Amino acid sequence: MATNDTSITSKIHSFLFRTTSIAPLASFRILLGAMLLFSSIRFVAKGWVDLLYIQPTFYFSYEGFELIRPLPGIGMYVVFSIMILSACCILLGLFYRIATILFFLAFTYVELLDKTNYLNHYYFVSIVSLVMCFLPAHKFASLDVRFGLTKPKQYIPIWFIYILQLQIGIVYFFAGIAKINPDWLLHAQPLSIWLKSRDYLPIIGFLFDYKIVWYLFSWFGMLFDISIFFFLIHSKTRPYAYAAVVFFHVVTGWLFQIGVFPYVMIVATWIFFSADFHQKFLRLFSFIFKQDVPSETQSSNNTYQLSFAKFWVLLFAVHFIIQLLLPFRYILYPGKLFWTEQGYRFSWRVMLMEKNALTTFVVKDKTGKIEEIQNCHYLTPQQEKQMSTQPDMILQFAHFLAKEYNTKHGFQQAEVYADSYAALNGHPSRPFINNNVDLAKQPINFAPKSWILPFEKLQP
Amino acid sequence: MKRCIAILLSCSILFLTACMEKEQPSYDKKAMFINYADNLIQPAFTTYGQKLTALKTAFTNFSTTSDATNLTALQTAFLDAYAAWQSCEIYEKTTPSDEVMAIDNNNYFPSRADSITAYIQRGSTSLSFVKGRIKSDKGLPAMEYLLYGKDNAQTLIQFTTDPNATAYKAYLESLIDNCIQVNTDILTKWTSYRDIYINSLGTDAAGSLSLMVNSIARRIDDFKRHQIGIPAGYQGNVKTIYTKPEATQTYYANKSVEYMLLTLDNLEKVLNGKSAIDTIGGNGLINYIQTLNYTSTFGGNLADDVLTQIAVCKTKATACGTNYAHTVITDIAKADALFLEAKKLLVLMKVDVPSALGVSITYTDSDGD
Repeated sequence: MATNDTSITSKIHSFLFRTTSIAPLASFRILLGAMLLFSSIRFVAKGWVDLLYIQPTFYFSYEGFELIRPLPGIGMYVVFSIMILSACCILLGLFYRIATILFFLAFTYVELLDKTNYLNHYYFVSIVSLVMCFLPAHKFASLDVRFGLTKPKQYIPIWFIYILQLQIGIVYFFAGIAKINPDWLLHAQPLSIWLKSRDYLPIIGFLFDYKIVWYLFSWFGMLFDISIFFFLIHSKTRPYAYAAVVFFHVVTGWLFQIGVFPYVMIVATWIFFSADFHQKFLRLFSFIFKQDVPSETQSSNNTYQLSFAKFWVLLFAVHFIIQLLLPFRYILYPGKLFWTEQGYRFSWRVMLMEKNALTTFVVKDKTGKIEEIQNCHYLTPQQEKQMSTQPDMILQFAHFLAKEYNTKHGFQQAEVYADSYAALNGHPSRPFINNNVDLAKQPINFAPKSWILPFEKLQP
Repeated sequence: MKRCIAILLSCSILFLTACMEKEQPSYDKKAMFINYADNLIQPAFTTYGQKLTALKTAFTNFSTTSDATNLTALQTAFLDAYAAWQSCEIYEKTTPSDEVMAIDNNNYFPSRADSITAYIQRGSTSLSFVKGRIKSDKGLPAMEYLLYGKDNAQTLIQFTTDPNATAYKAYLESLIDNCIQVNTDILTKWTSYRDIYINSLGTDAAGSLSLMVNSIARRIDDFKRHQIGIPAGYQGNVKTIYTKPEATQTYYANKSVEYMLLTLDNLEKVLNGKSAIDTIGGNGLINYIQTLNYTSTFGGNLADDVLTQIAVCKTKATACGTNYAHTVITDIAKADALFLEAKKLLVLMKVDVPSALGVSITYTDSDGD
């Protein structure tokens, strides 16, 4: 038994710690940096800094992160400048460690400001930029090496690459798992609504009037997401898998308003290609980095040695265990996940819902004062749209209103009631929130929210 | 492995042929938007513009010869224009009207009598002040106050022998001019915007589908809130004990129920794509929704249920008699019943319809995932 044990351990050891070329990591850094740079500039250019982080008077904080507030004045622009600058440095591999840490902090800070801006690919960027802080992606094909700021390395333990591949694999796999639900597979919802509304598109638009096409898209999307990781890791299927990745993301990017997400994934999956491939790719940049593709054989001198390697492996193991468990936390809540959205975020649930709601609030107090809130007085259109369909935000806004009316409008112990109707994935609208419950008295926490009316009970 | 694939393939082919049978009819959205732009929206503003011109003429006549006959003619021209406006208000969220804030300039009610009077008492005869005035001091409701706020004998005095008669006339003329100006702006903007409108077929924020749904939803929201709710004492959806009959649309001219019915008739026409040019219709939003075979919150076909709900609202509005301000005082239950049905119509239009069409209410330009 003992010998068996050692052989398994040694197998795991050689699986994780065998050395490989640093090239995939370096080229991933370049592409990621370019992507981050592009999307940060795009964000600023679209005027979203002002719209999302300066204009709002109220922010939907994440539970436990209430202290994270937007900076006044030009502060938010400073944060985005830091983001742009550090993305630039990541791309060039200049002051890499500081740049990755700064980017991660700036980006994550911004994402934590307001729940209504949550997007899965922002979450992905946060995780990847955090992971990149630990990886020596600047030890090759970088300005740090060119300027002698760091010692060049040509080999790294292969688990550095595995981490990135696994992280990407998780995104796809869980996105696929999430599609295994009756709405998606049996009713082609919400894709049927979205595709149908795009039947005006040239060339292929007419296809979207066919039921079969909605089902094909739904099933293909599910199968693609679930299986693509496995096809990407095998060298034989990789080229086809990557072609499928590009096709899938270009088509969805063209059809739906999903911003830079398709491009993030097209770029990220680059990491699955072989070292040879990446070395060829990096030659394109040798005029900047003045470093040639490694010709030397591996030695302890040109191999990146990580101290406390086992500790780091363990740390990442914990990270991935959390990653694997987090999407399943919804099991702890009663009711239909898409309806209550308890445990919905941070689980790679993308493009799964067409949800609309009309949510209005009434503030009352003991003295008989009554007022109905015009949400737009406090919220931006984007915030109102997100809040209306998501109970945790409805609750946060209700608490804010109670406080607002107690302090500014002379209400005494204001009570807040929500009147809400929601429609989900082609099902008719129905009452969403129990309008007899004083939301001001409901605690903001992760416990199940009993005041969400059940989806199943269709009221007359 | 090969057998596996073969079985999978044949299974999926079977499945695919099964759902191949049903095909959704394609709906020509561009034709629908052309119908809206050319047969409904622009004609509505054109007609309103003509009525405003007639109103201006009637004003000039009255201004020259300020007698009872010309006052009546002026009042008639005013009501003609106000009725014509009922067909325009529904297009508020289409870009040109939104840009010039058509409702705020034309039909924000109730007007503020004290503020209007106070301004006139200062004796100003400037004709260009209106632009800077707040919404409750201008538009058709302000004109209504000047033309119907007192009985006809008093009104005639106000425009003739009153020490501020000139200021009264100037204020009225300036109100008419402002409406004409705003309407001309809208029509001018539409001539260049039309091509963008008929070609914006996407479901994004700037897409015409999103604009139309938002615009119609906004109209129903205003109908429920301003025409019905506020006079009946509703703070939004909440009933208070204080009714506000004086907040009724056309409180002085007493056309409240008539205009409610005009609003609903027009809503029906717009949804059906019916117009003076195309009296049969069939090329409107409701016809598009009909092709989607969507079930509404009431359990029926969404398109049918929207139309039924409009009919229900009409019945409840008719039940309110002719004078809504009077109804809220004497028979509030009828107003409550109307409010309840208008609210149901709003849920259909703000939740079910956008869901069926894949557009959003209060849509902004942002990424999804």
